[in-house]
Amino acid sequence: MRPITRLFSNILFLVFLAFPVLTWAAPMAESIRGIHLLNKLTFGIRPGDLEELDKTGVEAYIQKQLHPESIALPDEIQKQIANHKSVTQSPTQTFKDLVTIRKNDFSSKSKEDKKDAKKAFKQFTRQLLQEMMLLKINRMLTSPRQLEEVMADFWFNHFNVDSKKGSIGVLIGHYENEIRKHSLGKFRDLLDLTAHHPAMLLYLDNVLNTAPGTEPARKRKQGKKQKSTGINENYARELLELHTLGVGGGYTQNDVVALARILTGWTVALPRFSNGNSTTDSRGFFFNAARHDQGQKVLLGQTISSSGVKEGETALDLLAKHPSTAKFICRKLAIHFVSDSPPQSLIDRMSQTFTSTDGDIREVLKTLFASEEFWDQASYRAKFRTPIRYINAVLRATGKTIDKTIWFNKILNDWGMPLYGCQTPDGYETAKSKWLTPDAMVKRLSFATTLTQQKFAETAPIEAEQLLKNLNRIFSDETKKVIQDSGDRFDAALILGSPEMMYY
Amino acid sequence: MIATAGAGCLQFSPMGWLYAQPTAEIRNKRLIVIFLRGAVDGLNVVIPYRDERYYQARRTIAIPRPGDKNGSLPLTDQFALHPSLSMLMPLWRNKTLSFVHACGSPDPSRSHFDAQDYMESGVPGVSSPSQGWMNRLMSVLPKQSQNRTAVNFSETQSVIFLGDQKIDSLPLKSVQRSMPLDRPQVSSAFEKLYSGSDELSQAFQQGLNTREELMEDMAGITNEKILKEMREANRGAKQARAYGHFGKILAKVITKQPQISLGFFAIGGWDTHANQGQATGQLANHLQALGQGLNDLATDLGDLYLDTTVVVMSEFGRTVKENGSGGTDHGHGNAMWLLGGGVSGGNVLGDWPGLASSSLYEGRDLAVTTDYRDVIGSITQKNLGLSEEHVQKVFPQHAFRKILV
Repeated sequence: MRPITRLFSNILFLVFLAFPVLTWAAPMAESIRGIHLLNKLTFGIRPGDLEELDKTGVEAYIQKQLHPESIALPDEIQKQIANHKSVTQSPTQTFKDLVTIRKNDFSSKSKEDKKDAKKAFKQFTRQLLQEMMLLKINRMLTSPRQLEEVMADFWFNHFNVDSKKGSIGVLIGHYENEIRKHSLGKFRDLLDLTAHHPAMLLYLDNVLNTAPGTEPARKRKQGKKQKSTGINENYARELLELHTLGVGGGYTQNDVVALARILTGWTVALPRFSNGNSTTDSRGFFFNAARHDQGQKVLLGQTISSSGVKEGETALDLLAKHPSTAKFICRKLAIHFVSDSPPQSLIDRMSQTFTSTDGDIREVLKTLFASEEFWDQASYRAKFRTPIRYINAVLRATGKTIDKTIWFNKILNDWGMPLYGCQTPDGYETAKSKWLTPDAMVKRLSFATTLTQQKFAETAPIEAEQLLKNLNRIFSDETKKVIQDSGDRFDAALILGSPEMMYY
Repeated sequence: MIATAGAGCLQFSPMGWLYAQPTAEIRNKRLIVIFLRGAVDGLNVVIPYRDERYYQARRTIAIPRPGDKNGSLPLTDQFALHPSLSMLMPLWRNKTLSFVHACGSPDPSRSHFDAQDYMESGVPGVSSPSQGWMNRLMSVLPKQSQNRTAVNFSETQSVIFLGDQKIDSLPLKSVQRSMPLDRPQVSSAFEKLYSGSDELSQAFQQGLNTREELMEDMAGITNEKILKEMREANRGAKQARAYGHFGKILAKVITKQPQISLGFFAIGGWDTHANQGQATGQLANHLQALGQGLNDLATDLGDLYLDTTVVVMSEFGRTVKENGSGGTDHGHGNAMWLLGGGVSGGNVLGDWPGLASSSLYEGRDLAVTTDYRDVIGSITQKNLGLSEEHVQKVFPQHAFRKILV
C-alpha cells in the first residue's frame, strides 16, 4: 500500500474508533425533518399536517407555534370553554356557585332528602371534573396551538396536583387554564401562579402550615378538641425538590424548614374554606398574617427579615434565579423533547438562555428547537410514547374527536396514567423504562384492534386504506410491506399499532 | 405434610410440619415484595406502647395502649399492632408474621423519589439507577426443575426489576378479563410486525407468552361468583377499591403458576402529612385494605403460603413527633414486615434504639439500626438458598451482616 493510502486508511480507522463519541453529530435526513418536528411539537400527526408543513416551512411553523396567540382557536373549543365557567371565572366564584347549589339541594330537613342531596352534589362535582377532562382531551386532539397544549401538559405535570384529593377536582379547570396562559412565558410567573393557587396550597397541605402557637386552623364546636398547629413541611420541600432547584440542587433540611416558615400563613379564602376570612385575590389566595412565623429566616444562605407575605415573594425570586433551577428545568425540557438522556451540551446551552433571559421559556425552547442536538439523527423517534401521547397520536391519526371522556380516561387509568390523577407531586415521568413493559404492548395493540374493529365510542369504523393514504410518509417500508402482505381484516389495527406510532 | 431428610436435624415446626434446617434444603420457592410508596408511618403500625415519649410526641395521633378504647393489639411486652390490622393476628399467633423494627437505608435522603430508587436499586446514594436488586436476585436464584419466572404485578415498570433478566409483567387489574390480543387471529397479525429482536418485539413476545399461559390457567376467573367474591373483598376504605383484592388475585395467579419465584407489587397513598387519623381515619383505612389483602394472600395460597416469603417495605419512616396538621413528615427508620414460611414469626426483631432524643436520627426520626439489605439478604439466604456470595451480588458495595429473621 502506498504511504499516502496507508495514512488515509489509518485516519479513517481512527475516525471509525471515534464514531461512538460522535453519535450525536449526524444531522437527520431532510425527508424526515417534518415528521420529527410534528412528532415532537404536537400530540400526533393528523391527515394533511405534513403537506401543510411543506407549504409553511419548518422555521415559520416553529415561530407560529411559539406564539399561540397568533393562531385562532376553533369555534368548537371556544364554545366548550365558554360553557364551563369554572375554567375562566375565579375559584372564589366557582366555590360561591357550589355553595349556592349545595344550599338549594340541602334546603330540606329530612334525613332521606339530605342523603340524596349529598349524592347529587357529589355527582355534580364529579361531572364537573369529567367535563374538564373532556375539554383537555379535545384541546389535545384538535387545538391548532399544539405546542401550547404540549407545554400546558408539561407544566401541569411539573406542578402536579391530584384531582382526587379533597376539593381539588373542581379547581383543576382553572388551575390548568392559568398554567396554559404562562406555559411559554416566564418561569417566575408559573411559580407565582402555583404558589398562590388553592389547588397547590390544598394539595401539598400548605393551608395547614402555621407558625407554632398561633390561632388554631379552624374554630371547633363546643367540646371538641382543638387541632394542634405547627409547621407543615410538605409544600416547602416539594417546592425546592420538585419545582425549582431539584434534588441535589444545593438545599439542605434547614432550607426546607426555613422555606416552610416563610410560607406559613399562605392559605386560601374560598367559600366554605375561609374561616371567616375573605380575599380579593382572584385566585382565592389569602395571606393569614395571624398564622405567619414572624421570625427571621435564612434561606439558601440569604437572610430574609420579617416582612410578612413579601418574604414568600423574595423566596420565590431566590428560587427562580438559582442556577440549579435553570439546570433542572432545562434538563426536564430536554428530556421531554429530545431523548431520555439528552446531551449535556444541549442542557448547558438551554440553561444559559434560561439564565440570561430570566427564565423565559419561549427563548429556551427557541434555543432547543434550533439546536444541532434536536435535529440530530439520534433524536429521531428517540422517545417512547407515554400512554397519553400514544392514545392522542392514534386518535389524531384517525382524525376522530370524542364526545365522552369515559372510555378515554378509563383506558389511561388502566394503563397507569389517569388524567389529573397522579397521586404524587412529582407528576408522570416520560422515560421509556417506566412505560415500555410486555403488558403495555399487549394493551396498546388490543386498544388499536378494538378501535378499528368495531363502532367505537359512537365513531364510524376506521378504514385502513384511508389511513395509509393520509399518513403514508411516516411508515417504513418494512411496516408497509407487512401491512400489504397481511389479510385486510386487521390492517387498520396494524397501522395504529405499528412501531412508528410507538415513538416520537 | 412434607417430610424431608437432610444433613441437618429434623424438627417439628409449631404447625406440625417436618422440615430440615436451611443448610440442607431450600425451604421456599418464592419471594414477594410489596412496596408501600409514600413512606408508611411504621411507628403507628408497630407501636412502642410502653414508651411514654411516643404518647408525648403524638398527642392526637398516637394509637391507644392495649386494653384502652380503640387500643392497639399486643404483640410483645414492648410493641403492639395497629387495630386495623387485627385480621393479621392469626398469622402472628401461628408464627408466620414478624416485624423488623428500626429498619431502613443508611442514606439520609428524605426525598420519596430518591429514597425509593435507592431501596429498589439496592445501592443507596447512587442516583438514576439502571438496575434493581430483584433483577440481580433473579440471576442468582438456584435452578429448579421448572423454569423460574419473575413477575411485576404493577401497571408500570419499577426500578427494582430493571436489568438484564427477563421480567414478565402482569398488572393484577388486567388479570380479570380477556383482551383482543388473546385471540389467535389478532396476535398472529401483530406477530408479523413484532417478530424481530428489537425492544418492542421482545416486549410484545413476552407479553403474549404471559397472556397465553395466563388465559389457559385462569379460565375460571371470569366466573361471576369469583368476581363477586373479589368485589366484596373491597368493602371498606375508598383506597381498598383500588387494590383491595390484590391478595386474592395474587394468590390465584401464584397457585396456577407456582414457578413464579419473584413478585413485586407497589401500593401508593401512604404519605400522611395531614389528618392521618388514629385508630380510625386515613392511615387506618389504608392499613385495613392492605391487611385484608395480605390475609387473603396467606389464606388463598394454601400449601404454597409456607413456600413463600412476603416482604412489606417502604422507603423511610415518618417523624416521631406529629406535625401541626395531625400528620407526620418524612422520617428515617421504619418497620419491615415479614410473612410466610421461615420468618421467625411472632417476634419483633431488630435492634430497637428507643425514642430518647439522644437516640433519634437528626434529633427527629426513629434511627435505623438494621440495614434493609441485611434483612433481605438474611431472609433470602435462609429461605431461597442463597449463598453469601449470591447476597453480595444482589447487594454490591455493602458489608452484609447476617441477622436473625
